Parts: sequence; structure tokens; C-alpha cells
Amino acid sequence: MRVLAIVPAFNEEESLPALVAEIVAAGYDVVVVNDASTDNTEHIARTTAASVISLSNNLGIGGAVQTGFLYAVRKGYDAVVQVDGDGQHDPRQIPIILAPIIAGEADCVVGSRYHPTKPDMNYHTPFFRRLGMRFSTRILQAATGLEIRDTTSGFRALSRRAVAFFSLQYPSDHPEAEALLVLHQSGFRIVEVPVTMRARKAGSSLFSLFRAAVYPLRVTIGFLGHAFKGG
Amino acid sequence: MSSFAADIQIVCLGSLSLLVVYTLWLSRYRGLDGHLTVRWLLVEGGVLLTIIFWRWLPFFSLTSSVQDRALLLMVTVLLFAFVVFLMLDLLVRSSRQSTQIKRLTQELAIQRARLDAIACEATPAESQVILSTPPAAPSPNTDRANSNAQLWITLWIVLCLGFYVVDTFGYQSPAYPSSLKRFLSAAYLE
Repeated sequence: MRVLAIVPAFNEEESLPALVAEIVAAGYDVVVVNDASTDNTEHIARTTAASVISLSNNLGIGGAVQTGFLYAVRKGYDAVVQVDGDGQHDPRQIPIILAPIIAGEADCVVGSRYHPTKPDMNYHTPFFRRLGMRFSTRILQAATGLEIRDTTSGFRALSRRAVAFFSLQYPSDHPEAEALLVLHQSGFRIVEVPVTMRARKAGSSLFSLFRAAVYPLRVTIGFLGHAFKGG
Repeated sequence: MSSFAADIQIVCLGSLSLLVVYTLWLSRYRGLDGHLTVRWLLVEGGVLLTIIFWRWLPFFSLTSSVQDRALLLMVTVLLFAFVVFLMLDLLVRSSRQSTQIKRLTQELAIQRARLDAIACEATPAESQVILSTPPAAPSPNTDRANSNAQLWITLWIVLCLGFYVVDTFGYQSPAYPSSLKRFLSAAYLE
């Protein structure tokens, strides 16, 4: 099975070289999607073993990841793993989130810090982010019946079918929870597996205080839009 | 509250509710950007609340000397709804163009990556395979949105002309169809 690791990167020059080296060492192809970084990310990425796609405009996390999906579809990969460029996701855990895809049990696997069987006790979640996440967990559960505890996790694996689907339509802004809703509505199977995450090596989270405050509203609107469509 | 003021409030609330539904519909089916949807729903929600509680709002007492203030409120709200309608139409076009720019940016980046790969390492045979990859699908046409806006602007102008005619000939003119007379009678307005 050919697996591609997609690393969306915006100003991640410090953490990128080590991360790419780890993914390559784990035996996966890597594509870094440079989201119009203003630092040296593109240059640094080109010095690594990764393929580099450099966007001329900043498209946000959703647009960057979708670019990776397009690339994976055109290159004929069987599965894709999303790994954040800040180094929080440990490439040694890629086999854990890939396992259900390889077994044909799921189309989307979410690496979760809060899985009840094995929660990540070392990971500290900021208060507002935790609130936003609980909200999106509950609204996703209300809309689909799925109980995904780590809806904002960007550590995900997708099957070829799911990647092809997302290459055509993928939510923007904070796309994670909405992406799960869209997948579920389209009949894809979603599972959550426990993973541990590391502290970010450099840079700052996109989930600022203001964004965390607006996040529930944004998720609600996204979900309302889909509800309005009627599934 | 008089029945006339209540009727005016119902018309305002109905118009704004339709506007909210229209905004959601644009978001779902016409590609209105999510951020813009949130902002406009907040604005529309604020106006809805204002209309619901308008008689208890402090600034309402300032308008006590204005005659037909309920009627004025309706005109203001309908004008607001119309302006928002036109702005949403423009924003849908803007959102679609943003989506097209996103697609073009993605396509450009992928093509650049392919060219880099060809320049770096590909043999002529591999280059052929890479170059045979089909291009992205063309973006949908946006002309229909343009014609919709023109249609609604025309309707609005016709409505304005209608009000002008009513104002010129008076509310009691026998020239109007009987179904309209009830709404145009001075008794109803009183």
C-alpha cells in the first residue's frame, strides 16, 4: 500500500526538517504543502527529502490540506496521513492510525488525545480550546450519532476513496469537525484511535483565543449549512 | 400595541426570517463563504431582536414625535432587507471567485511541483507520464447570479413605481383591482 504523509506548513521552518526526517525514517512518502509562509519554510522544506508544493497565496489549513489530497489523487496513493507541521504529531504513531485503513475497517481514522481507553495524560489542552472541542463533539454527536472526542485533531488517516472525495470538496477555516460531518453524510466510515501528542516545537497554534471564542459559532453555521442541505 | 403596528411587525419579522433562510441557502447552495455567513446571520439576528423588542428599546421613545413611525419602521426594515439582499448577491460572487482563486492557486502549485520534479530528475519517459495528467475541471459559470440581481433590481424599481402610482392617484381610486382595495384603503391605515 502506497501511503503519503501530507504536512501542511505555515511558518514552520524550525520544526520541519526533523519532522520530515522522522516520517521518511518511518518509511512513508512526504509532501510538504507550504501555505505561502513568510519565513524560510519553503527553502528549508526543499532541503529535505520531501516533495514540496508551494502555494502562492495563503489558503489556510483547509486549502493547504486539500492541495495535498489533490496531489495524492494524481499520484495514485492508496492512503493519506495528515501530519501537522509543528511537530506535535509523532510519525512513529502513523501505523496506529493507518491500521484500520489497511484492514479495510474505516475510511477515516482520527488520532485522538482523549480516547477513553487510553487518554493522553501528558497533553495539556487550553481551556477555550477544550470548550470549543466539547461543543463540536456534542454537535457532531447530535448531527450524526458519532462520538468523536478529539474533533480538532489534525492527525488523521484517510483511505483512497475519502481522499478522492475531499480533493473535490473540503471545508475551509477550521475544517476538522465539519469534514467529519461531510464524510459521515456521504457514507464513509469514521473511527477514532488513541494517540499521544508532543508539545509543539516552535510557532504558535492557529487556535487563538479569539478563534476559540468564534469556533462554536463557526461550527454551528457549518453544520447548519449541511442540515439545510438535508443530509 | 395597535393591530396595524402588529401587522407591520409581522411583515418585518417575516422579511427578516426570509432573509435568514436566504443567507443559509446561499451558504449551502451558492457557495457563500462561511465567515461571511456568520457575520450576516449575526447582523440579521440583531435586527430581528430589535424588531421583536422595538417598543421597549430606549431609542424608540425618541421617535414618539414622528408620525406613522410603525410605517417608517417597515420601510426601513424592507430597505435594509433589500440592501442586504443585494450585498449577499455580490458576496456570493466574491466567494465564488475566492473559490476559483483557491483552485487556481492549488493547481498552479501542483503544476510547479511537477515541473520542478521534471527539471530535477525525470527521464523523458517519466516526463510524458507526468504531463499526461488531466487538468483540473473548469469552474462553474457565475453569469446566473448576475442576471438574478438584475431581475430583483427590476422588481424593486417596479414596486417603487407602483407606490408612486398609488401615491399619485390616492388610496381610494376606483382604478385599482378589488383585491388590493382593502390594503390601500385609508381605513386600514387608520
